[in-house]
Amino acid sequence: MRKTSKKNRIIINCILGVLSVIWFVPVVFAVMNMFKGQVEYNMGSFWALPEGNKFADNLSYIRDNAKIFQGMLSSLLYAACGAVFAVILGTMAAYGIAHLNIKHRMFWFMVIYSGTIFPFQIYLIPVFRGYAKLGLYDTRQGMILFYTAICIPFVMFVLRNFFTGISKEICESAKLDGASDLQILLKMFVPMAKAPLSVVLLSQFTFCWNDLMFGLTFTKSREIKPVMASLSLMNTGHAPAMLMACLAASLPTILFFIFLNKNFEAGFVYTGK
Amino acid sequence: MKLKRITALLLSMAVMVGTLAGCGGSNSDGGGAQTSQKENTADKEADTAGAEDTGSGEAASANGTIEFWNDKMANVEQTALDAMIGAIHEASGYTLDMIPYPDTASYQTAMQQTVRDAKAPGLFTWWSGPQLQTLVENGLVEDLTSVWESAIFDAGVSQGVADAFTFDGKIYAAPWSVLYNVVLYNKTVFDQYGLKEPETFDEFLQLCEDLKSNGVAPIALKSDSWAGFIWFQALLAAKDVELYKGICDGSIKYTDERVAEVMGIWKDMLDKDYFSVPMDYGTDVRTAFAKGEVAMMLEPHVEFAGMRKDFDMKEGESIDAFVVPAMDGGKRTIFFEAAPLCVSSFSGQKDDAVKILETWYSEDVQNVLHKEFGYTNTSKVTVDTPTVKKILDATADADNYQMVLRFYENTPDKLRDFVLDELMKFQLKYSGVDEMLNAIQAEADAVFGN
Amino acid sequence: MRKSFSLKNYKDYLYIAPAVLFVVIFFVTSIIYAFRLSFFEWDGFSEMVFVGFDNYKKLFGDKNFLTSVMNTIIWVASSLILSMALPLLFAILITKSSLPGFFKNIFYFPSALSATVGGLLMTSILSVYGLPRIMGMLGFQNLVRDWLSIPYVNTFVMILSGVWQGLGLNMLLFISGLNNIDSSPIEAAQIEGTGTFQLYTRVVFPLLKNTIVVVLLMSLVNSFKTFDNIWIMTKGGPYRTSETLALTMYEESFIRNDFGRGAAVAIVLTVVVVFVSYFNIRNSFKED
Repeated sequence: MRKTSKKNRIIINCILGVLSVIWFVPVVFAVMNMFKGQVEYNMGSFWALPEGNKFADNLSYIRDNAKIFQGMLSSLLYAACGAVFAVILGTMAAYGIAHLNIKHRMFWFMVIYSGTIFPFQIYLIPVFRGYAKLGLYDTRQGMILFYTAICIPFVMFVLRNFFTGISKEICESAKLDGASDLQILLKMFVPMAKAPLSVVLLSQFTFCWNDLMFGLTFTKSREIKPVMASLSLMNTGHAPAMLMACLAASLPTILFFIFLNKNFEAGFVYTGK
Repeated sequence: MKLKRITALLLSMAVMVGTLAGCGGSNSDGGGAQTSQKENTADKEADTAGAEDTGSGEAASANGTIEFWNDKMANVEQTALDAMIGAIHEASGYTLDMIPYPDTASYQTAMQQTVRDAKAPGLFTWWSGPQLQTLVENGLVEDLTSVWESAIFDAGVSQGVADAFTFDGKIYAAPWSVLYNVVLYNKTVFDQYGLKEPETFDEFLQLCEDLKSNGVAPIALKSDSWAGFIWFQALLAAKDVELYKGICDGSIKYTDERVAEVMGIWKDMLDKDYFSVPMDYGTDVRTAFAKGEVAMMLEPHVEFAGMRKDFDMKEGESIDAFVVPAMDGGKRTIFFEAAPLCVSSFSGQKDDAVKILETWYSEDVQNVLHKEFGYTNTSKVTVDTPTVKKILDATADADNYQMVLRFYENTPDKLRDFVLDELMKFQLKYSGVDEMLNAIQAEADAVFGN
Repeated sequence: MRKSFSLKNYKDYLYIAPAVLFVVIFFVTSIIYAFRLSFFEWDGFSEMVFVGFDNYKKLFGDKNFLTSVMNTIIWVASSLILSMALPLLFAILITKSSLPGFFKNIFYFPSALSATVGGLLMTSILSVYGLPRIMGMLGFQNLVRDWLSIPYVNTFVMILSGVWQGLGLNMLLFISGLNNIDSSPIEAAQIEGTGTFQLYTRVVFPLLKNTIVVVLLMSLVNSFKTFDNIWIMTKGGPYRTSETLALTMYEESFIRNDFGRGAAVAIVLTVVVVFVSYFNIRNSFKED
């Protein structure tokens, strides 16, 4: 990238510094209020420092009372499987639409893409009916299938855009060398698409993890319910425990982000038209 | 290559999680809840293995477990639920499997799609008024008149509650909760300025004036979308309860001059800042009330329990309640709301669900419900504070008080939603008395078919 | 090279088949169901009654629906600015700062929180005892009230508070786009002495086109469907002044039990979004 003058860089650092303070203030308060007791939080100011340390009390409260951790295991399963399967199927479809010999590309694109267009609430009743008939209601398989389905369109959409940026000549020359379509996808496209693949994997994992409405509707037993359902059942009157549970429930998505972090910068050599 | 490794890692993680989650389910709870969970898992595995649909519901109830779907127990402590499940198990021998839904869309969808199935829950909570009527008209809920006659009336649940659940002479629900709307006040503030509970409506207005002159916002203005009717019904009934009833059933027009007069009083109170700035109940009203920045709020009496738990306000010491006095000095009106507890007619657990209700209103069970949730559903419940006792006595004191079903369930829902919006608009001072009443009457004409 | 009906060609379709099947089974059937439902009157439990176009006709005479359309337009228009321009600006600044990794993490962080968590934090901060109280201490007494309960103003408050959580993903996409563009045209332009602003509008943005299309379309579609933020903060109130179409659909269906009418709102919304995205997508296919 082009160089930035020293003066400009300092200005930019300052602007971002101030903004990041603003950005982080709510999180700081969430963390701070986690140490307060229920009555202390309710009667005191949101901005006041905690008087004592109720961290341990709140922790045992969310463990025993709200059953947050059990839900987290279920959610991990759904979000990981849903995102991974969707990324696999979405990548294949994106590759097909961008580079393979398919008629009416735009039509097929619109069909898959339509999954993100409709307001999500309309899925509740039809999917519930289907699930009840097929015995998928309140099962782990049902949850994974649904999350896979709902993540596919976004994955396909992002990757198709990326793949169309890769020039056709590269494919043609690889084909002349005797590579099959599948080999081209796996050996050339996927390694090049490290950054966008990481982004869609992260965003779809986060989406599934944070989903409340579908998790709530397509499950009923406690060991199938995802974590957000448990969170939404917590007593909002006990805000400190609630905040702690919220932060605990957000940890996996944050860790996953950090884990994938360096992939976002990954360059790809073959772009440009 | 790294991506492959990541994928492999994720997949193996997922498999691990699957196994863990499988074990995790069984070692979490003790006692009754555990059995219920296990049965649930067994039940579910049978389904996924492709077993016959029929029977799984009955199988569950044969083991003494009854599913209880509800939308009322979000935000309730697990310890409270366990106490309730324990008490009911002791009284009836059945184990309740609680399936709480914190979100209306999920609950509606799940109920709609299972209510005609043998797997429908034995027990579920619903909304009274038009929503309950819909279930009744479609033959989806059991007639519980016999349970009322054998157990519920005897436990001291009033006829008014039964009436709210009655269609064509049959009672189709039992009360999950009966809530009385009263004016809760911050007693510390009242004591500080030497103020007393009002005996007449003029004293009530004077009370507001005194609070205001001391820099305390007299009444909380709750801005929650549905809450526009709270002071509307209270003031109408303070004028004349027949006026309120006529408004509800359409026999009196909203444009009636007595209604306009009452709305004028309300408008006057709003203009004199007897109401606080609009606030959200959950985040602000309770805090403002506990801190003494707002002195009064018209809420269900179970809020005593909530305010004690969340704000450490003790009944009789820092919080108390009264009923709005009538303008003519006559009977005061207590508005009640009753949440129905229904038995679904198609459920395989139907018969057991009816049986569980026979003991549901025993003193032991209701005492636990009072202790954990603050409910006072029966007159025989042991009340631990004189403040709550005072309200319960008032509900039984027919000479000085009258019980009336609140507006929300008491008027056709098509009109209700329109009225709620108009009332909120009026309360927030975005429309005037005549403008509001004319708009509502136009809609009422269409609904009541005048 | 291109044969239409060879075995090879049939294999190509296998790549898109699973994705198409998933979407058709789960979502296309759902929209067909909703479409059918929009011609009926149904409360969820009773018999469905066919009413023809009544649901649609009533919608267009309903002032709440019109408010909802207006609010949706406001959300969409603001999201064009807030979810396109801001993340792009942040991305550019971050790639030029001394601590790109640090800043990126900070600004992404809220996006990893769920809507429930974000909503809870934001309602605490926007409630009377949060930010308004601080405004009061600074001397702005008339700002000490619940900002979310002021009709029409609350929409803008919610849009702004949505930036906090909504910025992260788009910013990430832009950063990865910026890091990956070919640097030679930029260097060439710099040697020619192009000014900073022109450098971006003429050289960098065209190179970012693919990323911009993705972000634009996703933000557009998502802003049409805005639901979570509003439902958590105001539930569409007071008196239905902050509803968007997705919220109206939910309110009519699940709160007021008028599923036919709710479905009609869903169909109107779908038609609009399909229409808008069709033109955007068509452009990206033209070049093939």
